[in-house]
Amino acid sequence: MIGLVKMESFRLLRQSRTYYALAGVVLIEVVVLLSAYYQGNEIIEILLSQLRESFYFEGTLVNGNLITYLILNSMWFHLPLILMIVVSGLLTSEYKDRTLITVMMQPVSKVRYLLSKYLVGILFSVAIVLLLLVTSLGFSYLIFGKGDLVVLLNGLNFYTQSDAFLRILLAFAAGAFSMVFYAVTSLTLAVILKDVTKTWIVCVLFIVISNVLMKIDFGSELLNNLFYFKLNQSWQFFFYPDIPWYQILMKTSLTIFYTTLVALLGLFIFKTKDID
Amino acid sequence: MRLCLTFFFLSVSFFSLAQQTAIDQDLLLIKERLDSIVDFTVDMGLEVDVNFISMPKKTGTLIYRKGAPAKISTDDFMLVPKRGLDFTLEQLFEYPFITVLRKTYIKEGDSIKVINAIPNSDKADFSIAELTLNISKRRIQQTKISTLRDGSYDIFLKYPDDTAILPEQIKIQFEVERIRIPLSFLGQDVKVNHKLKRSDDIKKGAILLDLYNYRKQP
Repeated sequence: MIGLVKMESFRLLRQSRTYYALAGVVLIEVVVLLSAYYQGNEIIEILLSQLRESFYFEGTLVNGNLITYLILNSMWFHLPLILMIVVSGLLTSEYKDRTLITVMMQPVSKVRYLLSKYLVGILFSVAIVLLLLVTSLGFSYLIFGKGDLVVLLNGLNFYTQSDAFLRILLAFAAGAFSMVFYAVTSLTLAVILKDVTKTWIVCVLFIVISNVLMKIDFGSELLNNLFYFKLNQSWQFFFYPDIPWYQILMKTSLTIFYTTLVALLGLFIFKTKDID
Repeated sequence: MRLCLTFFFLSVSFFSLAQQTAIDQDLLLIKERLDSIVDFTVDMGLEVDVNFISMPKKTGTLIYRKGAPAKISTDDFMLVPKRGLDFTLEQLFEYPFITVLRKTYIKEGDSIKVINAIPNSDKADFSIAELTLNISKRRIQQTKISTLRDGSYDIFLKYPDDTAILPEQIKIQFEVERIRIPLSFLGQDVKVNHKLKRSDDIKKGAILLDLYNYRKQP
């Protein structure tokens, strides 16, 4: 199994699209950083304009923590897209190049083979989130410096530097679970669709539909908490003054449950279907 | 007859002038005490009590020098109240004013006097101020100031002992308009309760300042 994981990791690192994906993540970060550089003060001014009647402001709020928070907000749509394209390629490229048939002629268990791809997909997702964490915090602190974070969630919430840093770390950790779900889903879609282009199109549709559904209120707390697309926002809970730990735990557990379910579905289909 | 009329008008003018310039003697005594403060530096803790703002307690240093607005130095981001840092009432009594006695009473053995201060000059930025003076301890206990531009606000002062003229705690209460945020700035999971929002537009907010370690400026 370890050998299979090593082989899949090697394949992933040899793919040029992996590096395009990494470059894409950094490029999106740079764009957000640039827009924050030009619009940061304007955003803060709008948020705090009415407070100016009663207060003077001492210190600045356009700092590395705010920029990282803005990056977090914009990344949770783009990152799944990049991940799904790269991770699904682990299998679709093998269908396309017909190497899968060659591999299956070897004494390799189909379940172990696909499981190794799932594992590599998961590791890659976590690595990308870590890269995003390091680069976004690194660039933001380097350019904008440290300071208090202001977040608009049911009012204006201010956090000190150390508190903001911890909340950002936890938000990234919670976001990683969602990213793993999308990566695993893309591999299962690859198992079902086999074709590169079809899989990419369905992946994009999946993300777009998930984002649309995420904004819909289903009128029931139970439904709003159960659906997978409602789980993608659990990172935001870390920016409430009182962190709702129970809700985060529930949502993270559900994400892990859905991820396992989707992976099991993929394994079942892959095991029972013949390789064309 | 002409002489009588001239005398009458002169008398009226004199009495009205005398009334206009009448300033409560106890207030003058307290002001004299406050005027003796030239400068000081004090460490401070600041808490914001506004229902739509959640902010941890901030710390900083407040620097006061007579004739200049109080300055605050801090490493954090801080919401500094525009009003209430006029420790010596310098800004309030910058222009001529008159006072009107409202009531006197005894509280916890201290003589308390409530007076209204009304400015005589158009340059003053307040329309009326209600001052609660502790006559026994010769200091101001509470002020309620209606300004021309920044609404009205109340200041409650707490002192460390019976003789202190500088407070250890100041509570500044003011009206604050609930912030209106463009919808594009709201998070994806934020629900807007329009009914609540409408009824909630004007709110009382407060700033609590803890002042400790007063020292003379070097």
